[in-house]
Amino acid sequence: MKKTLTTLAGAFLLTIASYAQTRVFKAVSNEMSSKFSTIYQDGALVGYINVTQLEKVSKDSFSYRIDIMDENLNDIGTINFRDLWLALEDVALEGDVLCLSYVKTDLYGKEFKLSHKFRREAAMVDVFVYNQFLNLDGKILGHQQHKVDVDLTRLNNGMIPTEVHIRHQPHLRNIPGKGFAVSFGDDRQNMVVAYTTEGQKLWEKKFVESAAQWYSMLTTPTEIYLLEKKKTRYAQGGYSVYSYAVANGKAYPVYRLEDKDGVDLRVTGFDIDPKTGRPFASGSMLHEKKGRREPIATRVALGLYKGVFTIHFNGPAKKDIKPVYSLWADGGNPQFSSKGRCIPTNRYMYLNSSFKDFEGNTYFSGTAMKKSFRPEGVLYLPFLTAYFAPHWGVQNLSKFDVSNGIVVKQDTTGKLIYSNTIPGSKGKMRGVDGMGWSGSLGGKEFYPVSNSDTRAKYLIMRDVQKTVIYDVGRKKILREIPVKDKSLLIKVYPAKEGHILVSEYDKKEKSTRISIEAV
Amino acid sequence: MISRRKIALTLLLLCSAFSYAQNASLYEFNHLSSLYFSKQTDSLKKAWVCKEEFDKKVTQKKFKEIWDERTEFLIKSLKDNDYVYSSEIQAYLEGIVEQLVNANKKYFPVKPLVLIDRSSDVNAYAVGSNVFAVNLGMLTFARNREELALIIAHELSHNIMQHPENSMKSRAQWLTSDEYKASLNAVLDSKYERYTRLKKVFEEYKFGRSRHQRYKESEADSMALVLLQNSRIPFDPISFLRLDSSDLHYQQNLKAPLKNYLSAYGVEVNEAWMKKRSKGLSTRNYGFKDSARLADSLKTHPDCTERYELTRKFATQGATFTPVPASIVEKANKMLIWKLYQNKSLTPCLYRVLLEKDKGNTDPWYDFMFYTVFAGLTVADNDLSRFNAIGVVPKEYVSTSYYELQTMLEQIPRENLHKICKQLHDAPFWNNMPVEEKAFRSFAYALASDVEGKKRSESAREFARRYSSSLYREFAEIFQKK
Repeated sequence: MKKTLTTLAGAFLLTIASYAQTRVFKAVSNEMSSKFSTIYQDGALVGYINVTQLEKVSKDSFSYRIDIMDENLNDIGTINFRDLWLALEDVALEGDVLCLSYVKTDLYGKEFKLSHKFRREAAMVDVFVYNQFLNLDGKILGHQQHKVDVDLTRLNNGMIPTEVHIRHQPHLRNIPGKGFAVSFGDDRQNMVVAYTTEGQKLWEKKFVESAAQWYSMLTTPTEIYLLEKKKTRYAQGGYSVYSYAVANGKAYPVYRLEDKDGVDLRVTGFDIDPKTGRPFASGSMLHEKKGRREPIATRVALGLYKGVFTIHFNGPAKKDIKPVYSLWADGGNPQFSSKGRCIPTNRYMYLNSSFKDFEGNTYFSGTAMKKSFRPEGVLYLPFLTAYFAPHWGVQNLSKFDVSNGIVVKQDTTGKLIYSNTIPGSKGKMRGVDGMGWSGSLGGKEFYPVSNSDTRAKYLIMRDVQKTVIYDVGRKKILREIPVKDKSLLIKVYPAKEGHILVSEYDKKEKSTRISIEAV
Repeated sequence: MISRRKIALTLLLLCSAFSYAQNASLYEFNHLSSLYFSKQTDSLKKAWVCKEEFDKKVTQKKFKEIWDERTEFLIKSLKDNDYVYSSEIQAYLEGIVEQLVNANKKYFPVKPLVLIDRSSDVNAYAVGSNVFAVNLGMLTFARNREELALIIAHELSHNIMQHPENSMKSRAQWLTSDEYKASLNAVLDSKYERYTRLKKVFEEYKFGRSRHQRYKESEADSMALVLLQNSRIPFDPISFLRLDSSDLHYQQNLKAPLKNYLSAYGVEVNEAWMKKRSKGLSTRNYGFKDSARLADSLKTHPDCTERYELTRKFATQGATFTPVPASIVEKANKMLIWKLYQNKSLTPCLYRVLLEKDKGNTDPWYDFMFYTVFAGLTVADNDLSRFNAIGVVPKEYVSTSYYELQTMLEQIPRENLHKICKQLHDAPFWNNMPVEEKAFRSFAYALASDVEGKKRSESAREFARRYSSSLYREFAEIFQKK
């Protein structure tokens, strides 16, 4: 009785909605938009956030609702506020304070009937990186904003602008025990700013490297590290690490990622070492000459890479940076040929991801490539050789089986050993085929999952037909999740520590079921 | 001194009672509403004809749409097996209804139809058109026959005063009114704050409706007192106060540490599984204002204390109350627990089993359910839906014990879960279990062991074929369909 008609009440609300004029609902919902994001702290997913732009409340401002969810997707609170047009970019948590980084401008929300009017206004408006600080009692503690130089006129030719892309979107990390760091870059410069948890600016640093292709940022209680990639003569190289003291923003010498011979390194992992709590970078060592070219399958088999590396940033000073190289090009490793073929499996490897376990070992994971002769390539050989380039014809004579994943281990002394093969979906590629933009090959992507409580490290291999969950320490496949199961489309995403988020889209019902499962 | 014959007779009686408890099925598969009420379901559309109530065509049309939606809603609920027929419970409820009807004939031209809703919510509701439902949760909550009679009388009063029908009429009127159209047009005409304006339109309606609903509830309370008085059924206003604590099942702690309940089955658990190891926000001290709580003005029912104060002068002095028969309560509780399992609500299901253990209940059926939950969790884990089967809820809504149980179910490693399932499958408590439960044990174990799920439909078909009248067949049907 206390809750009489609760069941019918649900139906009633639906009824109400269906009776309301569709036109009104359409008009109201068209004004609404939302962005869902994960919340991270110290590299671990701690919750989720949804920022909804509800409505326009004045000429240039909107009302927003922030829904905060815990790591189990349970709602824990809502915050409402009004501001100019905002686009959420990144979120981080430190202590009990959330920092949300947005791109903000007062251009949006306006409609322009003539394109020259839009361009005139777009040339005058300001764009900001806007950082908002909230506590877990639902109070907005404050904000900080930084003006950025963006040419909006080149970004939108429509009369109703909808998005802003600055050269490097805000990238946010918590600084353990201290506050937050945000990095971003505009048409002129790049910037890193540190805040306290109360939202007070500690310092800001500009560094003019606008040619950078992308950034990644790591924080420790004492330093902020920025990994930057820019174009060099090595297509897969060009990495440098910038570091700053958290206390005062003091810039340490820039560290270029290159081997002893000055050859660039290709980074596939930049993270915090779970054993030491210090940053590390790891990946492939490029061949001095062969390594300059874009990676294609045949080049990998011809020795594009000469080994793997791990660089430990025990401190920002050069003396504290300790590289560990494992070469196969010198022929000194019995498990690898001088061109990088893994002898126990008779396969080459194209690295996609590298990570460290709790014992200090580095694991390299990627696609295993088995080379074989491609008879049909003979047909094209005269044509390609005569009209294009001889090496094209030769490259076209080989093909690769890229069905499996491969894991190799570099121990703390630098000894590199084959660890295991992860059976994946069948895949083939020609010798001339290039690698995926994201570093995936044969549709395989790898990312690690940790469980600091059990000190276990897992590897998730996302493949074309299935996702494989692999226990790195026990060398065991724990579970295989098909991508398609009858009428279901299944996707796997990172979730809270030791877990994965499984999303199942039912094509018949047109509904999505989400589940957070232990790996 | 007690004679030997008396002891023998007592033992004989106890044995027969025990064997009754063991053999009596809660209900049969064909007692589920989709089968038991199939004829009524089919004829419901014809029987529930919408009357001509409005001259204005558009309002009448809207009224018919709402009316038909109610019919569809009930048909769907019946087809989804939201209701069940249980001869014993049905007879008990109908006995109360009959007493109320016989003493108040002028209000009841036709005998009302009572449905048993399988929900665990402490609730009852009037559907209108002489139909009302009592939830299993209410049957386990009511202390005595008189309390149940008050609840039934309240729902009957809603039907007598045609509250559901009137509510549909007023909705039809509102949705076709010029005021409603004008308010929606005003939303479209406005340049700013369209969402706020639209929300306001519905909030104002909801506020008005809630206020009216509360008035109707008070009206139904008064009418219920008249029905009870005419039927010479004693009234205890404390019943209203008790409703305030009706949904506290999962907020009460267990009497013993959680691990004790498991070790009673020989299952050793790691206490670390019960502790939240997550670094997530659920472990933080957040203190957002509870926006989910309904504002007082939006509540459909008057406050329980207010209802108590308003009716206390009508309390029957010196009355004796008849407890609801233990067999009814027991049956309703088991049916409710089974439904929770059927709905894949494994944590509430297991928690209710543990609460029974706290009461000293030694009925082996609860051991059966204890095993069944772990088997179900293993199946859910194989299907990557353990998280949903547990139904993880924030800590502030449940007791520490419940939170520990939920955390444990979430954190038991897969290998251990399979081990526990096997251990419970082989436990000694199965020795005296009825055949049907034993058969379900094998079926549930087959599902849990079939990690890839290739033989599920085969196992389900086999179980359904051999135990076609078993209530557990409902569970097998899920896998048969797959």
